[in-house]
Amino acid sequence: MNFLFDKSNVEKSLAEFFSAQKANILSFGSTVNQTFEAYVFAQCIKSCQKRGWIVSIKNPSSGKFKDKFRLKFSTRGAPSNFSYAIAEKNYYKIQIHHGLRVETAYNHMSSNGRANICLDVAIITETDVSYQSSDDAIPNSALLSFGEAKHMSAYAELVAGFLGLVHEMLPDALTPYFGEKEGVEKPFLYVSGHLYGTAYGIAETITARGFFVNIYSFDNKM
Amino acid sequence: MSELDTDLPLFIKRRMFAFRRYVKENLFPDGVNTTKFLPKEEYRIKITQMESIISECSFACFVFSLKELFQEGTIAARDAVTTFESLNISAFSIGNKIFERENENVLAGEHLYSQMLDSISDQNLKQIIEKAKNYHEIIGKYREFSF
Repeated sequence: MNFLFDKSNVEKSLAEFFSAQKANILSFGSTVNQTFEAYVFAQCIKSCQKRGWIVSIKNPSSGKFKDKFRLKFSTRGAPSNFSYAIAEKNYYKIQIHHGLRVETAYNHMSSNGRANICLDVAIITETDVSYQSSDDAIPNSALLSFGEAKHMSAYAELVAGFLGLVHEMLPDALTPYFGEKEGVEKPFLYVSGHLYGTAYGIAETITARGFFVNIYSFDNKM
Repeated sequence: MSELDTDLPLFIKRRMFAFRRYVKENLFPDGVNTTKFLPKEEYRIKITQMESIISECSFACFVFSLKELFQEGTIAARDAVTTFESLNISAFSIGNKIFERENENVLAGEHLYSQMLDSISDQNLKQIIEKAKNYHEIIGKYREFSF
């Protein structure tokens, strides 16, 4: 039974396409999520530039990756082995990192001191990361803002989960009308797709509640 | 979708089955909903018809999702490269893949989309996929068939 097109015919054509392009599709699929992370990191840099920050890139200064531009697509690895951006305004410097491990706001309550999360994008005050190991976390007091990148469309639970992450990392941002911190992006969730109806509903209530967070998507870019 | 579901990469396969429930909830939230009692045979026909509508509409959404996946891959890579270029970084890499101005890795998504479109000979589906801005528009086209 066909309505708008001949489905079985298209299935055959697509099966041939997938078979012929299998290697290319696998190759594309192996990096598509990380490409979106790189995009979000780049958007964050642009956002700082728009707010008047002068941005430069700091590459690893020693070792195997000396002077090489290198993003951190894994939760593992010492921050000093990866590149980050330095933003400067009125002699004040901040850093924009990719995949940086940061203590939660409640780490002081943990017995092992390991309540930390590796953030897709982290905006922090000027910090010496050269002595940080893969497992070390930046103190929460240095965290100005952060972003999570998800290569997918957003459903309600994803947005609600992000609010949970904000509660762990920057709980004050969930205080109504908290105000901008150092002229940087608010904590944000960036999805590559769209907001489904329920996610859009939650995003609207976030605005109504005056929370200091942003939800970006394909239809609402940073 | 039996022609397709055997040898697909997992990230594609997941998409293929993701829309069925969403489409059903949009087009037939209460299943076969008729105002009068139907004889068993007529009811069976309605069920088959409903399943066919859901199946075709879900499939159109799946193809549209591939368009978005492929196109957004190139948009994201191109935008990241342009931003890094403005900071005197000519390329970024993911593993051993280098992404730099309009190279094959940046354009991979765009190429896959155009090859996928070329492989589809059905002009009606092509038009739906090319013109739709989102899933709602595609589902909306099937609303006239729902009952």
